[in-house]
Amino acid sequence: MTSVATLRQEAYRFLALLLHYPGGGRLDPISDIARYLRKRSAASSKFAFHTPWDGLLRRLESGCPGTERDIQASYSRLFIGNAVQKAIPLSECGYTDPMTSGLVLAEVEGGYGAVGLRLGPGGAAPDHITTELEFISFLCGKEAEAWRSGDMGQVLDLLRRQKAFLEAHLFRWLPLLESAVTRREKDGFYAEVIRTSWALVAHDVDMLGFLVSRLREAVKVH
Amino acid sequence: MSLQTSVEPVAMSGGASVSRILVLLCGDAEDKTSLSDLQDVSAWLSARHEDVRVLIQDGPCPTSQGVKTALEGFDAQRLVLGFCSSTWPETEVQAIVRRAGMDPLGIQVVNIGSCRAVADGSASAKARLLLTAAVAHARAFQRSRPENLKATLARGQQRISRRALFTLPPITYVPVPTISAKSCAAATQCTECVRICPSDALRKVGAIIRVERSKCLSCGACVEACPQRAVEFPGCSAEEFEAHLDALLRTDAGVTERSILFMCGNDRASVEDGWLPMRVPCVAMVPTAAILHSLAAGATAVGVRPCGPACAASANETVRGRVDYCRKLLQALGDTPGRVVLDDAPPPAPTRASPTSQPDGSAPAVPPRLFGAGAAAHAVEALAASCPQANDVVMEHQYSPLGIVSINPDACTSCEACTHACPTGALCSRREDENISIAFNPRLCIACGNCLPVCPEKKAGAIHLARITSANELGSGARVVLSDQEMHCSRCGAPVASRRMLTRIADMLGEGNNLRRIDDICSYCRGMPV
Repeated sequence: MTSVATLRQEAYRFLALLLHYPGGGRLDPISDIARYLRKRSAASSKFAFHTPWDGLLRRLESGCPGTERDIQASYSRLFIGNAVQKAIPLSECGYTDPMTSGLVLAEVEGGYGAVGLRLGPGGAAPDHITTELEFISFLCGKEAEAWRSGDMGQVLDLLRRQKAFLEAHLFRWLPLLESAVTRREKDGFYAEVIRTSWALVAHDVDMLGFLVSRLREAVKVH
Repeated sequence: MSLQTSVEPVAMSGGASVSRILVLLCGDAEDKTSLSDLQDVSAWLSARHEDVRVLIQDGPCPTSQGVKTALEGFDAQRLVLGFCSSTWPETEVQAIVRRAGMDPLGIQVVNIGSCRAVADGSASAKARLLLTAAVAHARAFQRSRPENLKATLARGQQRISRRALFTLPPITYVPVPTISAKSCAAATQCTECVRICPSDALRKVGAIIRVERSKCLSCGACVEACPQRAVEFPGCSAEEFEAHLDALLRTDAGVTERSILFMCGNDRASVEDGWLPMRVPCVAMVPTAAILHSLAAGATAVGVRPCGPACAASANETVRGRVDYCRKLLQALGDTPGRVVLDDAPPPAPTRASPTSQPDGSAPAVPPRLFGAGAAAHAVEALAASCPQANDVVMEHQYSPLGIVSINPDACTSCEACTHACPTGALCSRREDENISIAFNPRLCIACGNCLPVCPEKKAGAIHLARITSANELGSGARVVLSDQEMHCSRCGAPVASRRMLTRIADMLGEGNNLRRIDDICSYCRGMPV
């Protein structure tokens, strides 16, 4: 289970990295990271998200999909917008009722605060896709540590937190983001990244569901 | 372990080989059953389908390793497994298939070990037919999306020891339906899928239907219920079901008598000789049109085998109701009701020449559309076409997939609420100049009854739905059931109301009312000079 948690941690982290603004040499080590992750991707073939995940890694392994300038142009076209096309929001509040935006932000930040995290100044918004993916990645990392130490109570708590956060946030708005991006650029790089993120989130919601109930029962029995 | 390729790879212009669908057969089938000519089956399939590659793998029944070896050599996009037993290493094969870049939901499994005998005594003919149907099914499969997959624990993994908690339990994936917002008619009050769902996994939120994945039993009943074919259910979608059944009924594989048995995919019980099994996620997803279409296309008999009361999804009452309807319809058509059976009693002897047993293997031109509005009408017509009494058949049944809506002109006010609520367009209104007409097309009516509660004059008996199957009505096509006239303001020309509406208001107001003063003046100008 440690390796599964680590695999998920790396996947969420990597996807968050890809969804940051592609500037400042952030994408330079992408091919190397993709190659490293691909070597370990055999373990993910047990999971339904393997197909898009492996496809993305394979695409990145052979180099970035264009120069940094090309990717920046693609990012701007999709997520910053221009006079012709409206921007597709990368934040959760872009997909919820504007009247409840404050509540969403409070909920998200409350989730981070509950495990001792606080957003640093000048970073992405709390409901930005990269922040939410990195948060899940953080919880997966903690889960891996808990499995390693054999602390079942801690594992159960972390699995519950992941499930609750995914269900309340990413699972709700990621499909909307995915369909918006796919509509605009079906085979584009960002469409693939977001499709992979959605596949991972959709899979994890189910898997965490049965892992929690299985573990809860086992903890009760033993 | 060795692999035998039945035919040489088909060469492409660039020299690469084409192999879109890989059929992997278990060589042990020859020993375990009377299927003595597996090579012949393999050659027949390869010769018939250009996009199919057949491999025979020496036994024991293909293991996950065997599947892996087979896939390594070919650029396959779909996989059909011909096993000689009903169990197979599902989780491992799914992982291997995924690693090969394929979608595991597209895997088709045929138990060729069950091909012991058929009515004409040819086991290999039955194997050919079942494999061809599986190939057709695999070909019709469209890739699943992340929301179509639900991870579940493999059977027997729910309870485990503390030690085993530290390892990942085997996970299998089951399909979950999604609703295409483009096609869904939820905006017109349609909640057919919500109504039929045995686990309350579907609910209407505004004008869309939401699927609660954790509750979904993957039975596919919603696919059957949707009149708009808006439910996407990869693995057994409407298109895959239709392709599978069509291949079973029409393929000239040497089987002269066909008895189709619809059965649950989880049903591991053996099938009586003579039946051609078609496994579906649950028999609740088998539409009445599929049973009737099979009979019309020449099936000797059609069996429906629910998995029993223990299965939450089997919806036994609905299934029994559909079977009963088909039997009664056959009886009304002068045919043998026993051609449709519940469970898998040995199929009855053929009572008449089967259209598909013609020497050229051609089948009657019955449209293979079995789901959605209009499918049942096609199937009933096709079945009735071969029966002399067909024109006289009028049959009322609680589970009739067809209905007749009648409108009482004395009570109706032409408000058109029923036409807006109709999810299939069976009731529709048309306005031409000052004329308003409401037309009813019995071929599109699914007897959902959505038109009834929205009628403001239902207490006055303005609208009535009868769950009637009538060959005459189907033959007559769409007809106008109500004609009315739109009244316009005598001053500005804006529409006021329909003539029937004004009459109704006058009736309600009683004698001595002042309607005369407003019935030719609209609410906008109030008769002021324009």
